[in-house]
Amino acid sequence: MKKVLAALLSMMMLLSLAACGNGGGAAPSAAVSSGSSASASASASASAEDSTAVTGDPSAANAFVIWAWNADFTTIQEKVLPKYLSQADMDRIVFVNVGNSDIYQDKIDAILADPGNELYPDIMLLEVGYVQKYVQSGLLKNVADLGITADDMSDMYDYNLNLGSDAASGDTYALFWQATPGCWQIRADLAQQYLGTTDPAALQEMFSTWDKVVKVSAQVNDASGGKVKLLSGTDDLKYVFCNGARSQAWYNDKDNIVVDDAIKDYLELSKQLKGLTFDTLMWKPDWAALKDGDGVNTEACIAFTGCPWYSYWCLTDTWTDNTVLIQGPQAFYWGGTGLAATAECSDTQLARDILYYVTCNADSMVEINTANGDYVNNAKAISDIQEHGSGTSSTFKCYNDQDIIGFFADKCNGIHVLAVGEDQVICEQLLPTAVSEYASGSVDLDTAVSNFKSAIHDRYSYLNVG
Amino acid sequence: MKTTKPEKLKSVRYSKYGYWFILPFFIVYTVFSLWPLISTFYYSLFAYTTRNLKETITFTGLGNYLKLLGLADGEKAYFLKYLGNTLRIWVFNFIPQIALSLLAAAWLTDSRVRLRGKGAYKVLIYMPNIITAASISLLFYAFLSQYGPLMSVLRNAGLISQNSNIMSSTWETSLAISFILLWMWYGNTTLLLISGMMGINASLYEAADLDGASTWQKFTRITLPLLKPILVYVLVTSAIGGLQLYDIPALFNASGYIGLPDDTSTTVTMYIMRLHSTDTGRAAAVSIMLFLITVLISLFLFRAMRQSESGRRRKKAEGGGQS
Amino acid sequence: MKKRRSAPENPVLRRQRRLRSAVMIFLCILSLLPFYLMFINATRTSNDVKSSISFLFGSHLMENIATFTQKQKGVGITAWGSMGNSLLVAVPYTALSVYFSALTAYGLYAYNFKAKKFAWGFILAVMMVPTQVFAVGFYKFMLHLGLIDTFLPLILPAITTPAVVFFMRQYLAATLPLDILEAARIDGSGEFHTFNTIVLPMMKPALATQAIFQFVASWNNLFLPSLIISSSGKKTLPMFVQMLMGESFRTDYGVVFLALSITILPMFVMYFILSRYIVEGVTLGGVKE
Repeated sequence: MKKVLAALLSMMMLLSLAACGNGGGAAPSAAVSSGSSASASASASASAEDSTAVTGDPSAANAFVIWAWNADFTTIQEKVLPKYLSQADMDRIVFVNVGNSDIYQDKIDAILADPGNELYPDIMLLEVGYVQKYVQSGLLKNVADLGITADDMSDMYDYNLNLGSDAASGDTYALFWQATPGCWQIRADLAQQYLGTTDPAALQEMFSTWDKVVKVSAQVNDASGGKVKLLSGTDDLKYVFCNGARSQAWYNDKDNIVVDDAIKDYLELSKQLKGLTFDTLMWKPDWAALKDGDGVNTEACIAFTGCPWYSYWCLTDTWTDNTVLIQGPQAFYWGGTGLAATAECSDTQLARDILYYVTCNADSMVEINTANGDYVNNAKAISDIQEHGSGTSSTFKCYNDQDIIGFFADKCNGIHVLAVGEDQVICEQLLPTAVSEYASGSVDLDTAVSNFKSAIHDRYSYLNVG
Repeated sequence: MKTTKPEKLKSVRYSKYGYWFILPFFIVYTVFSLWPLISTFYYSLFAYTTRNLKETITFTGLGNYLKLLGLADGEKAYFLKYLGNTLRIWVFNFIPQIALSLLAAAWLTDSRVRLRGKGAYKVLIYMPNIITAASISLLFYAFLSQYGPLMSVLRNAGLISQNSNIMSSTWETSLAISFILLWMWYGNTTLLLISGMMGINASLYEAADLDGASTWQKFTRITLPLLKPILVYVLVTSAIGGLQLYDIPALFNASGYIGLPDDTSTTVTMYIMRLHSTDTGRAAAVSIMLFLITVLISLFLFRAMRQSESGRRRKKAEGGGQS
Repeated sequence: MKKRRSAPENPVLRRQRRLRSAVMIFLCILSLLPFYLMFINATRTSNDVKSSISFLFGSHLMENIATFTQKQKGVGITAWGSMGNSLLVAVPYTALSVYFSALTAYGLYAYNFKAKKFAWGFILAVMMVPTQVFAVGFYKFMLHLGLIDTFLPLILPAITTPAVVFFMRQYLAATLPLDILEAARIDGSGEFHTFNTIVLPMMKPALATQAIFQFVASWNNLFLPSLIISSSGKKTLPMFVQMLMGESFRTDYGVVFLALSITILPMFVMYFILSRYIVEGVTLGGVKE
């Protein structure tokens, strides 16, 4: 018996060895978003053998070092920048790819503490969830000092400009090339079956308020016997409330923690939706599996929240030609990637050129859209793309050929920014605990809020429970 | 050859070598364990705050300890909370574990009802102990997650309700983790108890048989008392191991070192890992408190061992009468 | 059923035995079942895995392997790469641990020096102290030495594994007559030479047993590597497993089970090859009285 078992096992092992051993060759790994940090257009990221991959020669005297956590920027560097920068400048660029968003901040924090290091960044890529930490650090260079003018930035969407600026002084430090307005993605086949329509306007009307969302959730749940639900979980709505509905930041100028009414509304909504969603957390396997359910044998849900890069790269085949985009009850934004020059930047002219062509110039940003499908942070570029198209590389299509660019075109308006450097951890790690604690009924609202505050204080001891 | 030298002198001459043999151990222990332990205590006396990449360090004395125990103003006793989580998970693993192990060990050593294939049983029940805990945790998570295989099948069969989810219930999640621990460790405990039971003199049982004792009486009057040292040993090693509980809860449905649901399966060592990157001072204070608890438990072991030893000696002196 | 015993068995005992055998077999199945289902599920599609439990292999192994191969590119290290790293840590760890523990144990056993009692007491006292309690200081110290993100901090502490010293010392006390050392001295053998050429070979069974356990402990360790290692290229196997929790692998149950199968398989095979020694070793190690 044991021998048979061992033989079987070794055979399996050999099999898997043979198949997994030859892992060479780069292939586009679509949909490798940086997950919980909800960032980055997950464009075809080349395989990174060791996480921290350095491309270029950092020991050169005039090396210009750019840090990032994935290879998204490489596409821009290879396909767009050569048309705008001299070959000599291109050759100076050293690209450091940490390859892992989870440790990215640790890595750059360590290198920023070591200005003598030859890999000290001249430009860093920064994600929405923590960009303010660096904006406030004094380690970034004001873009005005690089020679980027207010006029240069006039086509950017306001919310993105605010994300990279110091609210107190109005100075701007980080500029974004992506815009990431939020949307609800509705699965057309299930919408037809359970909601009776696939018309974007009718669906938007159906989901124009949270009360209606609750009502429709209950209807869908009843009609399907629980196999199909409107939403995967209220966790899917956290960005809607954190990056849209809130009217106050997580703490006030006295560093006292503030739990906005919108967050309390979110807690209440989660309670109302208890049992009417699948109660999954974003990026967990249960959540991901719901995307491909058939609604008969396996659970499925009708709506996921998202943003342009998510729609383009992260929806599965089930959703191709089967997605209706609507805004839902509330304008909001997801994560995006910003560029910032460090205060110690070795060449402000080159830094200016890179920032300018990646985040300000409409023509080059149309090319970025062509190169990797990013929904770019430039109103003029977007209207150019709307007029002429850009030949984006994504094969994603909405149901009935709904115009994706056209849909998102006005969704950046009216987004209110309250970002602080602690956003990512508070919104993605601490808030979900408070939500599930309250929704499950194990504590009352006051306790949930007070526990939430304690958790924030535990993580950031300089913020007071107040 | 100078064989004429007195025995005593020779052994003294050689005995110096003992220092050389144990030197590497003590040097490396000092450098890699003792010194870090002392410096951990030192760090625990400072408040570390990093905000927008600027770190400030101020002396706070026992401030970190007071905070963690909820004794400072506006502080929640997170240490006690996570210690409670850890204990809950450990207790619900240990009690059934010791019962199951005693039963299995008693059966596998029973000379009256001899089981066939004892070797295979031992090999198989011990097996989970050797497999990477991280993998096992994820494996159980994959099975038990809300729409994973097991729950889906039960749901489709109508055995559980549509929305039931182990992962969203404090007790069910804790019990699931306890079960994984039980499943991984009872084989180990069984083997330890077997070795203890084999050491018990068979004539004691024969004498009891002659007196007409039942199996239960033999178990409670002979086996258990004589197993006491090994039971204490198992208890203490399991308790100390339980305090360090990390791999399984950290990979079982946790995110960012917060054990789901609602932070109720976060253990003390997960807390150390979480604090470690943001607040060295409190991470150090948690470590030191964990150390103190470990010392207390170890002292308990030594006392119990000494007691049982002196007890045995006394019994021998009394003539070793067995009732 | 063949019975070797000549005396007819008491029917009560027979019933007892059947019951006990059934329970033990149930426990054995319980040990194997999760692994068996894991291997099965590794060969099935995600939707199949979700909708039913099967005890027969599916036909999706190749597809799952392809997806897994594809996905592990995104995390900066492959399963095999992480196993390589684990080996790079576990092998020297094991060697250092058994050698230096034997050395220390021998020093404590064979010589009568002044501090002997203290040294032995010290080792007993620190036997229970877990790494976790000095992890913060350890990390800072390694940072200071520039050893963060290297394997050395994971390997060097192997020189001090008090539990192994304890075991070896007990083993020596039970098996090594001191006369042998006297004889070696008379033959002019140096003390360390005696240890390396005479004592070590005699300790082979103890070394082997402890080697297995130290290897397993190092191979399975997650806490310390998580603290020390940061670049993906250096991640050890348990850290790779931790990355399986990450979003890139989560989308497909079949792939998750395949990935787990791959991470578990080496230990699984090793266990069944060495199980006899391991089970014996646990029993021996347990007799700490």
